[in-house]
Amino acid sequence: MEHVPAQQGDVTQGPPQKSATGKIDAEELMVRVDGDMELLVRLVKIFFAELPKYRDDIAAAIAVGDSHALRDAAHSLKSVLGTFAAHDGHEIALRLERMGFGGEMAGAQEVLAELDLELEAIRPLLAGFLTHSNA
Amino acid sequence: MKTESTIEIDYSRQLRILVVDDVAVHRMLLKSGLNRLNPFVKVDEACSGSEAMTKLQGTERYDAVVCDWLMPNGSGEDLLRWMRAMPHFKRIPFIMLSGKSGSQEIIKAFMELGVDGYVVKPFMPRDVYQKVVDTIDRMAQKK
Repeated sequence: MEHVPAQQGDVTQGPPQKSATGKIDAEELMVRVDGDMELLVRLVKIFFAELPKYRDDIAAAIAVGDSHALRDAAHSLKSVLGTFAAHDGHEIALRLERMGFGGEMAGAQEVLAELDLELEAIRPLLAGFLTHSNA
Repeated sequence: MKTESTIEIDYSRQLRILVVDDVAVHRMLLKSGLNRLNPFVKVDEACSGSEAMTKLQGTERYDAVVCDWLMPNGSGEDLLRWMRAMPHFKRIPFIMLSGKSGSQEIIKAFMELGVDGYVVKPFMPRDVYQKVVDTIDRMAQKK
């Protein structure tokens, strides 16, 4: 089992557009996995495998105006983004969850677009942990 | 008198824990994290309240259930209500994983459903382990 020290500060990817910050708190993330890089790699692989479903479930809920489905789908993605210490992504998904909870779907498509940008911005950061593992 | 900060957690006791969460990342994090803290912990997984009910009715006897609250295909609330109505399962400590401290769902879980403890997400496996052990010990003292 490989252990790595917690990285200091944020890992920041240059935002592809203004609304995406692409931040992950790497220090918090490493504490969460107790410095276990092998575990982190497994978690990232699971996340990458499941991310399309999370995203598609949100998009489908918005498309049909199903607020309960939006709440549930956004809740799952929100919580996993929180686990990866992707705080801005977590915040955007939380907004979608609240919209679903309140039954207010107006503007949800725009928030989803914002979420897409953020997800694309953090993807290379998480992928970087896979590269590190293979080094 | 021991204060909370001086209580030593037992990292060697044998425990069987059922982790219920629809998010696979969380199941993996908990299973691996709890085993790292205590190699004598046996963790089973369920991805919904419905699957958890099936596992509880199997041959395994669990010391605690750690459960996400909002899940499709059987929520944490559904599972807890079912467990509390079943003589064999109603005394198994139930720890909920919740998104926000002090939220309405937590208040409801304590006031109406008798949840035994909660941990706020995003969680650290160490916090979950400590809550499980504390809750098991507290409930054992009540007997």
